[in-house]
Amino acid sequence: MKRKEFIQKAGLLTAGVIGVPYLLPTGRLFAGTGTRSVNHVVLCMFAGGVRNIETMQKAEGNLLRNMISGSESITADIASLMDNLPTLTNSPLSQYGTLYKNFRYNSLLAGHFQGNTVALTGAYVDSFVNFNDYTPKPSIFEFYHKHNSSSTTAKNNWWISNSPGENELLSQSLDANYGGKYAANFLCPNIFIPNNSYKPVDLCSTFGAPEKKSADELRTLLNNSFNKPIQVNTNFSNTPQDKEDIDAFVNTLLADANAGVYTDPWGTGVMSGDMYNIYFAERVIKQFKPELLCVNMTDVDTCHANFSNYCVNLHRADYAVAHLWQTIQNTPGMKDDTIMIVVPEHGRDGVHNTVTDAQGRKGIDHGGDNVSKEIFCMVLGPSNVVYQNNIINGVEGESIDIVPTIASVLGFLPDIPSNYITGKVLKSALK
Amino acid sequence: MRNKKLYIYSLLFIFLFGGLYACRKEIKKIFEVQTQPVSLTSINKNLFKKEIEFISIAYSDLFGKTIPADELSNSIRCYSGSNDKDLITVRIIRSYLNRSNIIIPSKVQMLNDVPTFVSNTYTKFYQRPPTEMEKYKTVQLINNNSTLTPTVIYYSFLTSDEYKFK
Repeated sequence: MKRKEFIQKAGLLTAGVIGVPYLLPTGRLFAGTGTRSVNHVVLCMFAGGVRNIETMQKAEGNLLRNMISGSESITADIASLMDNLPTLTNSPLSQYGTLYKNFRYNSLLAGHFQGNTVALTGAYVDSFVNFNDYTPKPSIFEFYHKHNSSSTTAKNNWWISNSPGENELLSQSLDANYGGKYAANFLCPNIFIPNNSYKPVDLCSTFGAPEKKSADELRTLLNNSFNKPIQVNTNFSNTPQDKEDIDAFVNTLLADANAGVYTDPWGTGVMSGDMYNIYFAERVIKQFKPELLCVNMTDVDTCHANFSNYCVNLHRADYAVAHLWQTIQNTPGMKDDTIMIVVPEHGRDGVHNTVTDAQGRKGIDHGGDNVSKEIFCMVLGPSNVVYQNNIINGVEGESIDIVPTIASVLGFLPDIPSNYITGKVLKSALK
Repeated sequence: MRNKKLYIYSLLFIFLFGGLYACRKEIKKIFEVQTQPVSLTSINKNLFKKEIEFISIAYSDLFGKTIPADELSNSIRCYSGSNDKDLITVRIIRSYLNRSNIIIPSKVQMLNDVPTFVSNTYTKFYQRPPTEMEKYKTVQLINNNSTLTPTVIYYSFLTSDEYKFK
């Protein structure tokens, strides 16, 4: 072999050995280089702007009986409005993990979108937030999707939101290293609930396997005649196999809508928007056992104009969170292999506004003051991974810590370039 | 003497320029033909239809009238529920095809005159007649496949790449 040829071939071989893992469809051959503590994480954004005064400090009594211990009775005027929701677990959820009673959302920009952005990207936002475009910084969904094992697809990665619009923009970012290719599946389950003239059942229609095969064959023939213009496509799209699975899942959800399953699926006699959103997150959990799922709630935001209803909705959100935890523990494959993090996206102001509800209670906004920075965080999980019944009373942890904590427990934190991470892992919760 | 000088200069010339030539990087001349993708037609469609535009056009093509406001708002609602817009588009198309009031020939009508059906379908959805090759292949496919009903054929056209562009 000639010297020149030898050098060429040796060079190609070396480049191949180094490069091939990164040429694979997912961009990487190996799983995250860190160690996994569990294989699933569920993040619950609780629940539309919540003050520690009504939750951890129990100013109106213990409104979160499923989540935290204490038998403090609820203020009479509020108690009269409460739904008769049962206590789901033998012990409050806090006993199954670590409760940070003085967590912080260290920003005065206390908006829902800003709060969700901070929790999902692990970085505080500045005063200019674009509600019409994807977030500039990558989200935990993209970190997970890019830096996980080669088998990861968006079917393992879900963002269940109770409202469409800007929340969808959090499923992917504008960052050149991430973006639509690594997005989560965004689902706003409200579309399955009939509403006025809207009947989701209209969407039901399926082809049998032979027709589908024939349609594919003809489509291939048609596509062969057309040269698709080269375009930069930033849109998210599932893999063909995932599309089929999700399409079948949607068929089931729509059939259930048609059958009236959503009238009272938990048998509680009450289903708020938040409870529905958690219910559909549970359906995704049961169907796909995702490795990462984020779900939000916002009903307590009625606090702007109706403080009493805020308390009622806190009680419902508490029940929904317990129901979610119970579902995880009853789902084979996720039981004892899931960490659930519950955290408000931000708090509410320290002072009331001037809007009075039927009970004579004044509303509270979240314009952003020091009280609105005060939130809590609950990290629940198996006893070999998460410290149990661990109450941290001091000021510790903040919203930007959620992303590195999730990345750490799922084992891909070392793979995220350090300039993307500003928070710390919540080590006092993890063994 | 003069010859000797000439001899020495010649040798120097050969060493200098001959050496330079010898050290020159070997240039491989490769003559290639620039490949041009060849399609059956020269279709000039390069603007991607946005979701709402797509669904409005599809509705018009299938029902022969403008999409009603409530139908459009329902479609927008569906699109807002997922970030996989392709998945939603396909679902909406299938739901349209499932309705009784779409304008579509029966299978018997199609089989009576497959070439005309193919021509009409191309014109309806692609705004152009098929090329002879397209027509031949599509007719062949329909004649050889009993599961290719008009509904399935319409579905293929509506979900094809060309229909996504204008």
